[in-house]
Amino acid sequence: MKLLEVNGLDVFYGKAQALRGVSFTVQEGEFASVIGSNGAGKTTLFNAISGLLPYQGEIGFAGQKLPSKPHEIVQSGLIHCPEGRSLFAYLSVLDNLQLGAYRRKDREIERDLRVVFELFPRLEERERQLVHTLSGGEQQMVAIGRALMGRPRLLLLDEPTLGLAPIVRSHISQALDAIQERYRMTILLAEQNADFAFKHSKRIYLLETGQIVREGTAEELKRDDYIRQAYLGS
Amino acid sequence: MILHRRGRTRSYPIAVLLLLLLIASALVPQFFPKNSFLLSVLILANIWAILAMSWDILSGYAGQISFGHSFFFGLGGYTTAFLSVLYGWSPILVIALGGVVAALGGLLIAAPALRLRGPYLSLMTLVAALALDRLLRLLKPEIGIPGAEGAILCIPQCLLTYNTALKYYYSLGLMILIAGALYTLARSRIGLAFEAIRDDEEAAQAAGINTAKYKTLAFAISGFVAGVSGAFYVYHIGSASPSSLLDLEHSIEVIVAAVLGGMGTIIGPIFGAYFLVLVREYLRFLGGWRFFVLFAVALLVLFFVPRGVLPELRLKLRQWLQSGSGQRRNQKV
Amino acid sequence: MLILGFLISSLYALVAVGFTMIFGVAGVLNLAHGAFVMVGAYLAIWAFVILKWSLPVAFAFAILGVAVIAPLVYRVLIRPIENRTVTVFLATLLLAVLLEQVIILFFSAKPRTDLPPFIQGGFVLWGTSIPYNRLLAGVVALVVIGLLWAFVTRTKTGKAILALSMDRRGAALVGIASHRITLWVWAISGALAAIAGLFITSFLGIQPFEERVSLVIAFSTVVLGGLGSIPGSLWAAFIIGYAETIAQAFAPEARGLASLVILLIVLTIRPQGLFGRAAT
Repeated sequence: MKLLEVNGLDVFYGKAQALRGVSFTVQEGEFASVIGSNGAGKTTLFNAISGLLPYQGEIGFAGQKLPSKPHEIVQSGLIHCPEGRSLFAYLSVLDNLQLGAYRRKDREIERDLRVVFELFPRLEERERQLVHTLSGGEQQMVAIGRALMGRPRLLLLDEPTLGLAPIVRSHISQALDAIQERYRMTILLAEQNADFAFKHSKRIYLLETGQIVREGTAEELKRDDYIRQAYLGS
Repeated sequence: MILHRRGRTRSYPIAVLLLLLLIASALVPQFFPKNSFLLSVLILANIWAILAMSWDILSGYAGQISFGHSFFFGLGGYTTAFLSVLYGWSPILVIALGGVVAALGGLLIAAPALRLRGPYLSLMTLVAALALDRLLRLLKPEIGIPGAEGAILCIPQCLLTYNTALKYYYSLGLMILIAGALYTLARSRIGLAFEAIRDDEEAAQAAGINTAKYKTLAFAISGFVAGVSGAFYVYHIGSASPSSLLDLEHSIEVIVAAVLGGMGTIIGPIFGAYFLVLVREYLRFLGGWRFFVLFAVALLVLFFVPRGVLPELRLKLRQWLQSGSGQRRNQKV
Repeated sequence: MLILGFLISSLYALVAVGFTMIFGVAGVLNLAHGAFVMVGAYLAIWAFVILKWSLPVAFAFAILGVAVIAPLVYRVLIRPIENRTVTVFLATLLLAVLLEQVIILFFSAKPRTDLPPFIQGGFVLWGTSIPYNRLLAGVVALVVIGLLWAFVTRTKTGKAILALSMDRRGAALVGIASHRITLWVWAISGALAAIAGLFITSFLGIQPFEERVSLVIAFSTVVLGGLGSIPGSLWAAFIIGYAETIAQAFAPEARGLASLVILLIVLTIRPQGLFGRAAT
């Protein structure tokens, strides 16, 4: 079943067009990636989907039209873990995580908090610490944890490993595997690092200067000459 | 970065309109020779127009919103009062020196202001005006009116002329001279640099504009012009006092005038100032209501016509003329 | 004087915290904040002197009144133009002078001293006579600040306010509806301003242009404390409060001047304030 369906998306910054007719779908339960170099429009795409930017075109989510305001989008189960994290720097780790569940009224918030702490034990050790005192890797864990606290049907993850040390990157990578296996969560990842994207995802879209220029399963695209030369470096 | 240079398409109808207004204002004393109240009000309007234009070059063009323009007005005014009482120099020299002292005041403010942005800067200018007010109230009344705090009476030394009509022409001439100079400046490379700083200071800097230099220049120019208006004001009323020169209301009124007429247009604030002064002086029977009306109108303009009335009218007029000529052409075909 | 300084400082803190909250959350420097202080005082005078309501009812009416007016101002005036910083800045300035005129039209520009102290009498402590009313003002201000602190650090809405002031995008992405929270913040800010206005008026009286003094004090306080920082404002409020108290002991007409001097020093030496975070 199609969970996310983006159709003919155009985004303008003033007169400059940042996205041109972007269309793609994400199936329920799938791990998909949008890859592309810096400035290709990945972050713009995610910001448009999560309601931070005005756009033209259609976005369907779980068979319905996606609402337009960010808080309604969060309510419908589409959660965006943004590039640059946008954490609440002067609040504690615990407050940040709990704010992730801001829209929820169910009784399983505590249980989800346990889940996040299982994924990232380091956060439990530092739950009282203010977020701005954490290392970059720990902050990224808080960002992912905060998104998970919203109990996403679809998680948008924008460059989760950008600027992190290799060891932290593999830690995050393992956590993504765990999320995927255990919770069968639908994830859409945006990555510059194509190797990382190919490692995790079933389906890949390649974005260049605001347009989708290649799409297919990871297996198919691994054999694509252009992608091999320009993005996989092998 | 985009430096949006204004289109060079001259709008002749507007130029013609301005010329007609100019001729009309030149003829006012001919038509109302007995009405010295009207002339007095129009002199005030010209002074306020100069002050509003000086605000516009600093705040409307260079984007450094000043809340304390009475600081420059007061510096110019007091310099005039002092010099004319102490030395009795000629008015032209004294008025120019009033401008120079206020320009120096501008440099004085610019020094700390260069480190400040947005609201901090506005606050700084406000503080400067309040501080000057307090300082002047400490003046000993030796050369002034005994008993009045910091007031200087300089009649007859700083009386330009007893002929109100002549004084009106002086004020009109000065206003037009300054309007022409500032208008030209605003269209020059300097004006472009000011606009670039207003629109995006980082980008302007990245584009190689020496923002510190241009901001300092904006303060000096604006200070000079405001100082000149303050100097002329003292020649008009024949005295200088903190309450007449440094009233916070002046600083608010110039903002109102610029907002009404159109910030960043130089010519717009002239109309705003005329409207303001005419309402203020002619609707005195309304008491406090006239200020209520003025501020309410300014707020509505800010809200609904954020570019100001003059630019909006100009746009409408141009559209109307274009559509009119378009129709005529169609009829011929 | 030590105690009086402390009591007046806590009132300044109320004004300053409201001012800084609006800046922190909405990015708006509300130049009409002093006017909110004034409107609160005049609403109480209207209710007590003209409508002859009892004092507690008049106080409650004034606080509620400003708590309703402030979010209305945001909704009607500020929100449609909130992306244009300069326009908002000028709009709040014009609103402030407009409110002054409204008050002058209804009450004239004369000082009003007919809002009586909430409680009469006083006592003498270490040679200083302390009216009960001032003591009450200090206690109320501290309690209100304490409650506010508990509200923003303990409740969900309070945390959403803090979150919004720290990262707007992050707040949007966890589903915080910024406009609704901002309405709350304006309401709280207005209520705090009104409470301060009531007490200040009950000891000093009020006149329409006085609102500028309140604004300058609030502005100085938050600049000293660092714009947008609530703990910063609290500390700064006490510094400014003491400076004002000491200055007034020597020259009563200097109200507002001490804060100006401090402000000037801070602006030139450390524009981000004592507790300011580098860039906002």
